[in-house]
Amino acid sequence: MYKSNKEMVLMKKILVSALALMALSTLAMSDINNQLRSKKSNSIMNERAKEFVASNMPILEKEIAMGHGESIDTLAELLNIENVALFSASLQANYNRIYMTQNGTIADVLNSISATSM
Amino acid sequence: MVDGASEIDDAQFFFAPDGKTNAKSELDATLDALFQEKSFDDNSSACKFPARKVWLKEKLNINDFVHVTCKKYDDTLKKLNPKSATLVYPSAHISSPTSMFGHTLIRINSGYNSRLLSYAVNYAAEVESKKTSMFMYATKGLTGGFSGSYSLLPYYEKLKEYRDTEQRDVWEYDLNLSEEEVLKMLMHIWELKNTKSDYYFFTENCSYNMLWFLEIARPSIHLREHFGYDIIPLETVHAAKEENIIESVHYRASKRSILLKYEELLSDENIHQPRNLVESKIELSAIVNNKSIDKQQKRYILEAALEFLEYSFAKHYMSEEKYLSLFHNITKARAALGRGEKLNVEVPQDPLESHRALRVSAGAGYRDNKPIGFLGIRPAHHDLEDSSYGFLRGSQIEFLNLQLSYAENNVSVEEATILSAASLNQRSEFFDSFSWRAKAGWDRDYMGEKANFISTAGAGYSWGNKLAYIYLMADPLFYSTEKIVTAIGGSVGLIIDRFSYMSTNLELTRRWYDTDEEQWLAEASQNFRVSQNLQLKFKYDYGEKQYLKSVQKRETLKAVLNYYF
Repeated sequence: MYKSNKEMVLMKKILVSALALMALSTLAMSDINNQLRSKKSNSIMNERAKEFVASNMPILEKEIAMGHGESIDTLAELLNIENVALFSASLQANYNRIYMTQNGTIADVLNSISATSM
Repeated sequence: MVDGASEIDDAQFFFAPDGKTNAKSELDATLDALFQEKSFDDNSSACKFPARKVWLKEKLNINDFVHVTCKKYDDTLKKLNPKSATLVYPSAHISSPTSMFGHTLIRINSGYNSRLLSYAVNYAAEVESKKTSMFMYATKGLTGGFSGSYSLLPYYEKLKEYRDTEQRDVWEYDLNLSEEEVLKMLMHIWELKNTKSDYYFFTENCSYNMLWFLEIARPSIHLREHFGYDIIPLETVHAAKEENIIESVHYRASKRSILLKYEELLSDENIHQPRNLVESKIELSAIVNNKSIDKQQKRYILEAALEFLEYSFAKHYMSEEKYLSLFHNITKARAALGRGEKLNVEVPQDPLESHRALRVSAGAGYRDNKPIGFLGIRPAHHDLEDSSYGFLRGSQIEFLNLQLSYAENNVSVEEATILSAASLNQRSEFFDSFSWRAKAGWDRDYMGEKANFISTAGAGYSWGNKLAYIYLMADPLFYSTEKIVTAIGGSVGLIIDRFSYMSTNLELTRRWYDTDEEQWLAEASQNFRVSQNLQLKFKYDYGEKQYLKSVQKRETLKAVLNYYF
């Protein structure tokens, strides 16, 4: 399916980033909701990326849904991802996982989308 | 520093008690403070005032200052990683009185490619907008009643504020400042971070302080010399251009411009769907599962719905709960449709190419078949007959407009406007805008012997397309003659502004006075933009006043040359 090892590695990197973003959006929002600071450090998401995601939640969600945007480009730069097009496409394809699953804190994230995510 | 006194009003900025006015004692006190530091961390004088320390080191060749560790300052510098600077101009959004003249701020660009990771230096009056009436706002603004303060904020926060919430197009003018010059500016900004200055709309305002910073960065430029009496934010951008420090320009479309673009892209069958979705008139599934809607149109519908949703929420048209649930459902549906076409909002006319604020005019013509001459001066800023090139469509803001006429050895005042403003907002699919206009000053429309004082504020609607726009206005007004007369006016107007080199304005007004007088007023003008700052205007005015059976008429035809600088 993949032409080379290099692309395989890149794909993995992107998927890991997508998962990290998912975890992070949970963290960022539970931060706001619980007024608590998470002390967990994430090896992939640096502080700057965390801060950026936490401050740009709605616009990121919108751009991920659309499959492109300046905030995604910015995040890619913060995460040292070179293939931004692939990153954007992968985030879009994983939209449901990023914004829907997990243990319900994401429901808090988006402040009560009770019907769908519980 | 002006006339030996500093323009900073906060005592914390000075070491000497008389530091604001006495530069010599401030210098001595600064040297004392730096040599006799009492603390050696962030609280030390050197950490609070890095620019002064560097300046003294250079000018007086001092190398034996006490060593201090400035953690906060170093961390900030590391985070900002200043490389270059940009002058940012969020253009006017005239519906709100606080933004009529636009605004300027400086952006410190970091080493990142993404400009969202830059920081904006913001200086703003602390206005509690909801509690401040228009009148209080104007009074306090003119007299220095507001306090201004600086902030250093991530640029994306400023974009949320100007581009998204206030729906102002944002223009970015990259400056050719070197890394070293930017650092110098930043050190100075750091010193001012916690100080306050009195804020004056026209003199020591947001833009004035930006000029200060730019001059500190590069002392060889003299931006403040471009200004004598007032500073309009857009004028600072013009001045920056004249000083040759602007390198390139970037445009960011406001939420409003983005929504208007979607209006263009949506087909006639689909144009109402985004609103229907947001207002819960149709189910999301009715769009997503509708096989007769083209896939790209579906994407546009959902994207426009998201933008309109955010707009509606910002305008408090819906609860947060409703907004969040709709937002999530629509983004989810949009994600399932895959990548679509990028929205491409055409870059509008660059405000840098718009006419300058100060206008002088000379004209000649005939009034009732007798020759008449005209002379005029207006310090600020723009009216609907000026070329709208680079300005927000349908906006007017005039301050102290004076027009004199000369006929039969008589000089008389044609117009003396204290303040006039208009906002003709076109209604469209997403915008249920209303239009308004207001004026206070003297004019000759009442057709008396002399100009009479008029005060008026009216409202109405406007509609338009790319070629032109029309408007309908109802304007209650009063004139002060020997006694006060009140009237209600109704106007219909058309402005054709399709072509950048010319525009056509037509307006017909009917007024009914409480004195049983009635009036017709008609005006038509054809305006040519000869160059950025030169306009040739041909104008026809007709006025008629009826009282009982007598009718008084007046007709004026004139050619006017307007020069802006």
